[in-house]
Amino acid sequence: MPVAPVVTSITFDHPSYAHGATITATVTYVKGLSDLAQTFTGVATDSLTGLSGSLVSTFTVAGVVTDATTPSASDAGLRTWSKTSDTGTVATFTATA
Amino acid sequence: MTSVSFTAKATDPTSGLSGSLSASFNVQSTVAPLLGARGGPTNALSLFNTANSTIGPLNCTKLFYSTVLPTTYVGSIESTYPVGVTPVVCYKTMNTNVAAYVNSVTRPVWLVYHQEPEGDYPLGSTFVSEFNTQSALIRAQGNPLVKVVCCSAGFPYRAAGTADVLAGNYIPPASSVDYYCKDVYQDQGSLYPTAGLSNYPIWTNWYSFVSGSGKPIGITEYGIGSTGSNADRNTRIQQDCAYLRASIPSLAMWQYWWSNVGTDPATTYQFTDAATIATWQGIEAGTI
Repeated sequence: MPVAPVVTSITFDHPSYAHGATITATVTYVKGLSDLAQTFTGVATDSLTGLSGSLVSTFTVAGVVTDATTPSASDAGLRTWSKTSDTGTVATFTATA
Repeated sequence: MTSVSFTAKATDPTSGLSGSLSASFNVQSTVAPLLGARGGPTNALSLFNTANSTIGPLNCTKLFYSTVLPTTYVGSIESTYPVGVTPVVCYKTMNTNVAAYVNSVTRPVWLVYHQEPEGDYPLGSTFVSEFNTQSALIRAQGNPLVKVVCCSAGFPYRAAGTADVLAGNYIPPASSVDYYCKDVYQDQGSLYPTAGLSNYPIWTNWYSFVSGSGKPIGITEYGIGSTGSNADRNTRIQQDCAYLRASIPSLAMWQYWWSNVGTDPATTYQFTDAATIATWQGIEAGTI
C-alpha cells in the first residue's frame, strides 16, 4: 500500500507583510512511499538426477520505496509562489505580498 | 490587515497521492485611506473649513455640480480647498467641459459621473453605457491626477431593492473604473444593522459586486443618524472602523457626511459631542 506524502509544517519569515514585500514560506515535508514488488522462485531438485523444476511468483513489500515528491504552494489571494530551494525535506517559497 | 490562507502541498507522482497543510499570513492595507468629510449642505469652502477645524484634519471632501463641470478647474471652488485635500467632484451633464476641465486639473481629483444613479435611471445598463463614455473621455485626456470614480447609492441596495439594482446592473466594469465608491447611512429608525456595515445589506449587497474587481473601494458619504444617542453613534463608528480595517484592505477613502438633512433625527448626521469627535479624529490619525 503506497503511503501519501505529508506536509509537516509551514513557517513564514514575518507575521505580517506590507503590500509589495517579499513573503518567504518554509515548508517541511515527508516524501511519499511506494510498494516494492519482489520475485520469489521456488525450486525442487531431484538429488539423484540433478533435474529440477521451478515456479516463480511475486509478492509486495508495502510502502518501502521512497518516491520523488514535489512540493508546491498556493494562497487564497492567487499570488504566484516560486520555489527557491528544495532539499527533499525542506522547501522554500517566495511571493510578493 | 487581511489574513490570507496559504496551502502547501506535496505530491507523489508515482502513486498520485498527495498531502497538504494550511496556514495563514497577514497583509497590511494597501495604503492608509483618505479620511475626510463633507462640511455642510453646499460646496462652500467656509463649511469645509469649519468641519476641518472641528473634526479634522480632513484630507478629502465631496462636492457637487448639478449639471455641467466648470469650463476649467482653475478658479473653481475645489481649487480653493487646502493643499492635501482630495476633492471628489460630481457632475451630471455628459461631455460638456469634461475634456477641458480634466486637462486643467492640477491636484488629485476623484471625478464622478452621475453619482447615485440607481434612483435616476430606469435601467442600470443605460447608466453604465453613459458612464463608459465618460470614463473613456476622461482617460483620453491622459491626466494621471484625475481618477474615474463610480459612486453608488445606499438605500437601493437594501434587501428589498429592485431586481436591476440587486443584479449589479448599475456597476460599470472594472476596466472603466479607478475607484468603486459608495454612499451609505445608518439610523436606528429603519433597517439598522446589529453590527454595522458588516451585516448591513445596503453595504454587503453592493460590496459583493465590487470586491472581486481588483479596484480600491471608497466611502464617499457615511453618516449615522440621531435616532439613537451620541454614544450609540460613537460606538457604531468604531464598529465600522474595526470592520473596514480588518475586512476591506483596499479601502482608499472614507468620508463622514458631517451635515444634516432637515431636522429629522434619521438624517441628522452631524456629531458635535467630544467623544465622537475624538473617535473620528482618532480614525483620521490612525490611532483607532
